[in-house]
Amino acid sequence: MRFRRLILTFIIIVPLLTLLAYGFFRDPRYIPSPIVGRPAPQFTLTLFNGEKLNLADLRGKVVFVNFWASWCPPCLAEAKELEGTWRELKDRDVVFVGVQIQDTEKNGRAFVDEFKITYPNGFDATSKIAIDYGVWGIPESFFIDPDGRITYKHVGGLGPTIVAAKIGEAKQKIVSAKEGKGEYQPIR
Amino acid sequence: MQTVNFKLQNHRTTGNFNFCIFHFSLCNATTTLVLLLSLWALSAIAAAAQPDLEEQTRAIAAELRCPVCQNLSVADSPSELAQQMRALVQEQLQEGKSPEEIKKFFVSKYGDWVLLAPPKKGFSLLLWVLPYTAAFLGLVFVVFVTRRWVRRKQEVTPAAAAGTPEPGQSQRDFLLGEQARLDTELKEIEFDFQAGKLSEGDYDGLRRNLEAQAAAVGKRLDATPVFPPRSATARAPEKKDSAAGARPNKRWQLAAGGLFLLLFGLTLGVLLTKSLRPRASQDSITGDFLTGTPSGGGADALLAQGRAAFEQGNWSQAIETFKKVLASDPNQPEAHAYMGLILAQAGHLDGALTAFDRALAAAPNLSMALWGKGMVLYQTGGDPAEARRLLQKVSGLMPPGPEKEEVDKTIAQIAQGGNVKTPTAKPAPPSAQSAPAAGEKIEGVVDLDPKLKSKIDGQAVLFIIARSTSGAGGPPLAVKRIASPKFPVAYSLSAQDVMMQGTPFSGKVFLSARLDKDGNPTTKEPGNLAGDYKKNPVDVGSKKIDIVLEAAR
Amino acid sequence: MTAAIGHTSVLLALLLALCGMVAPIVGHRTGKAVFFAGTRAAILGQFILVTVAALALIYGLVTTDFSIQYVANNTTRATPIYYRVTGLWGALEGSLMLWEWILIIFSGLVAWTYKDRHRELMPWVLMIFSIVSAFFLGVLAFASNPFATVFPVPLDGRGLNPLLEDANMMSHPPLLYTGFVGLTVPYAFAMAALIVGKLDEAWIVTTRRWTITAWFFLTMGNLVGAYWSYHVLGWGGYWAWDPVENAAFMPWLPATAFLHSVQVQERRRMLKVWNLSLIVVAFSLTIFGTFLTRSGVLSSIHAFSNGPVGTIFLAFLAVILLASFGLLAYRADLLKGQPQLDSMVSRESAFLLNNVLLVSALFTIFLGTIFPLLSEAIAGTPVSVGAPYFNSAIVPLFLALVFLMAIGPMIAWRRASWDNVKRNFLWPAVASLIAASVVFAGWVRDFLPLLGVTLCAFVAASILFDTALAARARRRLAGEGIFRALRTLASRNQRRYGGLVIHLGIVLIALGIGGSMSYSIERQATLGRGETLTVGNYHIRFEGLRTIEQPTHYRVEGAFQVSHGARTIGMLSPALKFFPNQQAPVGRAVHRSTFSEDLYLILSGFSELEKNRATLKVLVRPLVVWIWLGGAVIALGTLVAIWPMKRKNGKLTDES
Repeated sequence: MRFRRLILTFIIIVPLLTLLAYGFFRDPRYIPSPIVGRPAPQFTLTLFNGEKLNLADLRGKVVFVNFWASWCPPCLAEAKELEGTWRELKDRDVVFVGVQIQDTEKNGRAFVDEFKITYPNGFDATSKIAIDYGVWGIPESFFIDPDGRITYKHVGGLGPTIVAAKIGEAKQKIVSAKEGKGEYQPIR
Repeated sequence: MQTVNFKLQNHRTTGNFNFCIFHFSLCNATTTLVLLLSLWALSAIAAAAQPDLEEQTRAIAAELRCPVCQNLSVADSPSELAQQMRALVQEQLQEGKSPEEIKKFFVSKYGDWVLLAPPKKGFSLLLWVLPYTAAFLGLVFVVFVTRRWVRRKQEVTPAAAAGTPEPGQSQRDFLLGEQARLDTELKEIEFDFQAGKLSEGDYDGLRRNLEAQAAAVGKRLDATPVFPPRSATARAPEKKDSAAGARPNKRWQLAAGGLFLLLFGLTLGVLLTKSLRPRASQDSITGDFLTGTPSGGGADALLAQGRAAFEQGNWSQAIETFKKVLASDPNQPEAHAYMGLILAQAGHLDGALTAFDRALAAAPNLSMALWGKGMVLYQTGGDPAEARRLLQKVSGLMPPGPEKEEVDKTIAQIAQGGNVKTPTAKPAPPSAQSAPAAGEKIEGVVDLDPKLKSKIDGQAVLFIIARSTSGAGGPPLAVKRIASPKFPVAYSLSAQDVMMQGTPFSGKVFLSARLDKDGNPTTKEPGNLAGDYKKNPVDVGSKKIDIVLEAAR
Repeated sequence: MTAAIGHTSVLLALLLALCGMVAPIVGHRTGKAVFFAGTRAAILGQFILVTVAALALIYGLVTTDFSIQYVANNTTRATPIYYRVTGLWGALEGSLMLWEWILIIFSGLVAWTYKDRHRELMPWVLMIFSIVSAFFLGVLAFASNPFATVFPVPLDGRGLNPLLEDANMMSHPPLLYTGFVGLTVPYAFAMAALIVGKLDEAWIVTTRRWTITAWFFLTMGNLVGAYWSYHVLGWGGYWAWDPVENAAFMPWLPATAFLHSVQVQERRRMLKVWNLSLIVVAFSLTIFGTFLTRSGVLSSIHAFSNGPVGTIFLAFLAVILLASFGLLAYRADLLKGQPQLDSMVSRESAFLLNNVLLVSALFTIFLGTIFPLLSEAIAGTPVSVGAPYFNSAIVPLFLALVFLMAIGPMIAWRRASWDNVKRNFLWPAVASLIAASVVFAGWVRDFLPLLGVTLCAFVAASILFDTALAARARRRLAGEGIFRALRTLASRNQRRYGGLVIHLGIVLIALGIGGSMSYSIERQATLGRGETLTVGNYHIRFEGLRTIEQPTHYRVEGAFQVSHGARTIGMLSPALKFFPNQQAPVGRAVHRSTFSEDLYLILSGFSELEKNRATLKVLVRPLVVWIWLGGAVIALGTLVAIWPMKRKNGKLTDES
């Protein structure tokens, strides 16, 4: 009888403790995205040079969308490499689009000038595009395949290897099983 | 029903008055209940005014979770994203979407996580159902168990109801306790009767029961001897005995024990204090004592001296002292690191690199050496990849804070191949050269009016303030704080120093400087010095903006 | 030097704690009395050493000894002295030091108070204290050392988190920690009783005052925390159902349940296992709360740093739960009484119902707090559980509890006579009906608030009616005048009348919460100078922005002229504070409180100062003041309940 009660106590307490220990292995502020593998939300972005960019027009190409801001250190860290990767891949049916959020347009232009970025960039003043993509940290990057589906999302800074690899996967329309994580910080 | 009738009869025997009260109570209780229920029903029907747009937005926003804050709703959160989400909600309401559609929209973007109350389906249904189930089950359980307990009571006679002593309690103590308890209860039910909680019939019944129990207890008490036999169920009698017998001995034993403990503690404390030293690097805090690495006894004092000299900018003294340290311990890593820093400062970069390498050979994780070597490699442009690696290592060793941020910024700049940034925090003095990017900084030198040189104080703090307007309206645009300045002080004010993050550091600013004795810029003590730049306003990006502290105010 | 003294003291105290842990066991084995006395000496020694360590840390903070890492992280030269002292509990290491200090003070008090009583229990009680103390000292010595030194010594510190620079910071953590630590006392006695096997009620009677005191501090700690949130954080709310807030509230529920059901145990010698479980659960929840705050397992605005400390606390929690419940299960056969009840309608059953409701509330809050973890572990989807869920789940339970508060006093112990109950029910019910009608006619038309008001009025009326009847009985028995009667009643039935006053306090809090939750108005607008915003009956005119310099920050204040109807109230100036080390400014809202409602102004933002435009958020929250008044009434009630009363025969007793 005593033994049975002891067993009962164990059965109730140990799973609870295991659950709490499990908590150490996850980041409570990380928001997994429900749109990976789904069609990418459409948007129209007014670029810094005044043109308008429509995502719908880019069907048939692999699109790399990067959300950034000028005050975020990981964005600063990845900017040069992204530009480098863009110059390499420019002519291969790939489009890079940069969306600036939670900032001022002036800072955005300064940023683009500083890093001599040549791929299209624009300022999303109301963060509508960001909310459409479920952005919660910066930088965040999305890879969209030629059919318009999101194949991969990466929260945090990216390096050229991952970019090249994921673009390759997007070309073959392979949807990644997991999201990627780099160094990021939450948006304001 | 049966119980009610019994009670009715009881009352009839005592008089019509009670019966009337009963009847009165029942009628009125029912009436009251009915009135209350109708009131509540009325309120439920009473239509609330149609909420306006702002209230509707707020209501929906209160159910959404802000993705960037900790547990705040979008309605309560002050963050920018929350404001933008609220604007989006309002827009969608104006388009005619229903609250459910709006919530579904956000769920499609952020997942179920964005709802502050989980949806009532799937696994989350458990959350909605379990609490009420638990409460209901608890209620049922209590009713069931109470009924069993009542039935058990009815089957037991007053004498047997007295019970048995607890394990560990003597019979006599138990009976005394019971007597006290019954006594209290008798007084209580009398009070309850007087206060109108018990009917006379119930009171009589309970009183008789309790008195019978008390009588039984009294009888048993008379039967038990006053001094119970030693073989009682108490568990710790031997200790009591030995405690009683050993009492005279106990005291001096205690004293001896206490004294021994005190001496032991003191010795331990002294030993520990001697061997613990401030953690200078990743090596053990007990340093030599427990790990056995030899230490020069006087080297620590010399090192401290050298450090002090270094902090004060007394380079020659510092070099002397560190050389002495190295004489007794040629591999002392800290001394090498400091030498490296001093050499780098003076421009002897090769010598500095050698010194850092020596330091790192002895202590591969010495942050000062790592930082120093990284910065030198970066500035000479010799090996930016290595520089970056070293700086990243340092950054990993540092606690979060402004120093770490400085290092991280430098790393970022290396990544983009940018300019050298002069650091302002410990552990090294600012290096001389800098190539400012256009439009980013203001640089210059702050000096003291020669007449006032004597008035400064070791604890003084120098504030260099840039305002966007000439008056004192508003917080300044940027402030730089330099503690214990050695005049003339070179400064550099940039976007890093703005008060409110995100404010652009550009355009025209008004420069001024203030030396405050106690580091508190608002208190006015005699001896606080201040000065303005003569040719305000200046453009951001200007150099040689020299300020002289000449007024005491 | 200071760091060395502090650290050494902690290490020595740890050593003593380990001795204190071992001594009773050795004493039990060898039978020598000196070991039992040694336990007491260990506690007293720890008390001295920990006090030295705590004072050393305070000294370091006050003299801004930046060679200590903790001081460098939590003060600057410019910080005023009182905030330097509160820096003691401003971050992880210091807060653990505070906890340990309060723990050892309690242990010392217990050791000193009972040096001649409970001879068999005391060594084991002190052993339990030593175990808990050894744990905290171990963490302080090795895992999160407040005396860690930093080199090179920074010239200035980083300063206290600006949100913590407030007067409430000086009282909230110490009050709350005292409540948590106070629960260790009944826990230690319970465990000691289980270990020794001496399971009568003596220890419960003795620790009654300690438990009520701990409960009191827990209540006050939570209320001050709510006030702080309301007053300082500037979002206009006082309770966010944040995981750490829940963790601070959860021990309160089993503690309250215990205070009620223990009366059943004293009278009927029933519910022993249940009461012991309640104490163990309450104590475990305090450790669980500390774990949540310091582990980063759940996202919370209160969370301290991560690191190994979280794992260590989880390990300790595991040990406590397994050891306590294991011991309880092991000894449970000794605890089986012969429970009997006279009637299904009695105060005992009312208390059982009370316990069911409180424990259900505990279960609900606990489930809601860990549900995100559960959902992610089992179902793989992350969910959030926030205010909307908790409000909807808890409110019915609390309303039921309020109802129970009303009918509880009406029901007698052992057996309640139905007619008397009905009669006692009637007048308060009528009073509550009248109150409800008045309120309905005047302001409140929605169901739930109206129900809440009715129940609160019911409770108040029931308490007054009950007291009136008792006073009348007193007069009949002893011919005393009304005030004399009340005094005698209170002094002879301290716990009962203290409890009734506390219930009144709870009713006030319930009214305050109900009013502010149901009828708050919120408006936001951007105003230029001279423009007015109208909210309800208030007109708020923006007069302009101005700036002020303070020792540690700059403030931008918005001046607003407020008038209510036709009457001018005055200027209110919410502000935004800019700290040099912080990215974003910290808001400082202002509120004007009256008995009927609070006007709450938040400065959300402003344009460049020349343009003089400000974004203002206004909240009108009814009845908020009653929450704080309720807290004061609870304090009064607790005093009544535990005030030591001398009796004629010299013994300290009270009857109910």
